[in-house]
Amino acid sequence: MVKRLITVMVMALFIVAVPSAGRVAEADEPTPVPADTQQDNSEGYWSATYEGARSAQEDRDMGESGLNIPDAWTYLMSETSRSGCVYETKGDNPHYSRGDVSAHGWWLRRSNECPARADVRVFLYGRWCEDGECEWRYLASNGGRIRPGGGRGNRVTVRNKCYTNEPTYYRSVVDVDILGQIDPPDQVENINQVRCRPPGPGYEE
Amino acid sequence: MSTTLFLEAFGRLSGPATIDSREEDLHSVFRERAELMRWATTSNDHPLLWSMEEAEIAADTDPYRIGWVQVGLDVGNFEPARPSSGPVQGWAYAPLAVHRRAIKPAIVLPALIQCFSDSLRRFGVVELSGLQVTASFLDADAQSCLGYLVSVLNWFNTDLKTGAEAIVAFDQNLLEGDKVSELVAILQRRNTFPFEFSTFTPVSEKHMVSIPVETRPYHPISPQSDMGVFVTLPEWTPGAAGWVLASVVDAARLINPNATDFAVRLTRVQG
Repeated sequence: MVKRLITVMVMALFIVAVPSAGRVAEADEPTPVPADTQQDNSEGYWSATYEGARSAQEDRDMGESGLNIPDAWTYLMSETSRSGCVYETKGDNPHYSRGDVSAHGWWLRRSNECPARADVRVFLYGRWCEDGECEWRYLASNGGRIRPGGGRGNRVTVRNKCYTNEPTYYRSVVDVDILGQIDPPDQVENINQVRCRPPGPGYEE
Repeated sequence: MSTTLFLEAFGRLSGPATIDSREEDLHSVFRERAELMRWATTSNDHPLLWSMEEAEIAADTDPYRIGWVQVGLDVGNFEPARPSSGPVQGWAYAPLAVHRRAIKPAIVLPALIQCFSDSLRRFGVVELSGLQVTASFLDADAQSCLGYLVSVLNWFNTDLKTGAEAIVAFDQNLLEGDKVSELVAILQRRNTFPFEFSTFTPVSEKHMVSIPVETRPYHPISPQSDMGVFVTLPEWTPGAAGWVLASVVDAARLINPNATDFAVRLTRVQG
């Protein structure tokens, strides 16, 4: 009974989200719920299901990139737990757009409990290498309080100027914050190579 | 490698939108149409035929251009990236171990043009006079999609007596020189009935390609070819237009596999 009570309390604290697009393992990535802390779903409570487990061979095949081919985590909500807002975070690949590198972020409402608007922020990073070490370096971000659906005026766009058309890897991260509720680890990340080199120490005039 | 197709529709857009245009724009409508038909998706790591980038209605500002859409083609299988030639320093593209193979434009074009046309028609009545596709940063490729292109011709085997005639124009990046006769010979050798191809000269200014301002400054500008291709289509539909553009691009890349940045325009002239 106590276990069941704790389970219900934990469940009430979470909002359910479905991460979607290509995800990349990075040091600053939100930590998914470990498999050994998943709730028992046999009694109809929410569960976190790891659908994209990679084999060791696949890890080797992927190299150091960490590119994760299947969706990594899917959070499922059962019939009995409808107290949260079920939503989906959406984002597209960084891409060239009128002299800039650009990426979009938006959200989709999957249950009636969601508010009319949510805070969406899109972060843009470029791949930076120095002395044999590479990292994602922050370039720009943009945010807004927008309605769901990703339609007119309901997408957040982040942009960063191109100085040359040399190919560069970019990573976009979309974070959705449902007002008044605790944030789940639901960021969506996309990586793409774009013919657009940002200014900075790596750029020579 | 950042492979992009930029597709423009020319003609006239009139009448009321059937979509709620206060809530939706071409970006969202095109994206959702592609999701509905499973041509593209943002919901997992397999974007299918293309990845959504940008789209806009242009009819408000340009009397001849209805709208445009930009999609990425790097949606194929993962493959190992080429190692960098030396130590990478600064902003980089080399250090990730894998990248996605780009899908062939000839495979994408029929569905892309159908999706684009379906989406535009949500914003009013479309009188389509032409289409232009501008490709950027394609992989060099000499492998034909002939099997795919000829296997779908039953779709166009109609009883309609109202065919259409059109001109295909392109810049010199497509064929690297005047090899239009060679291009037409390849198309004619294929059993493409009810589509028929012949050479056409001279291409007038109104049929010529024009590099869209949205792709500048990085898309290389190339002189126009003053020869084009004359084509008879069984019908003037997005499907038939898509098939013609796909076939021309496919045949042209047999002649010039290194055509990585080019523009091709199809303009209706009669029928």
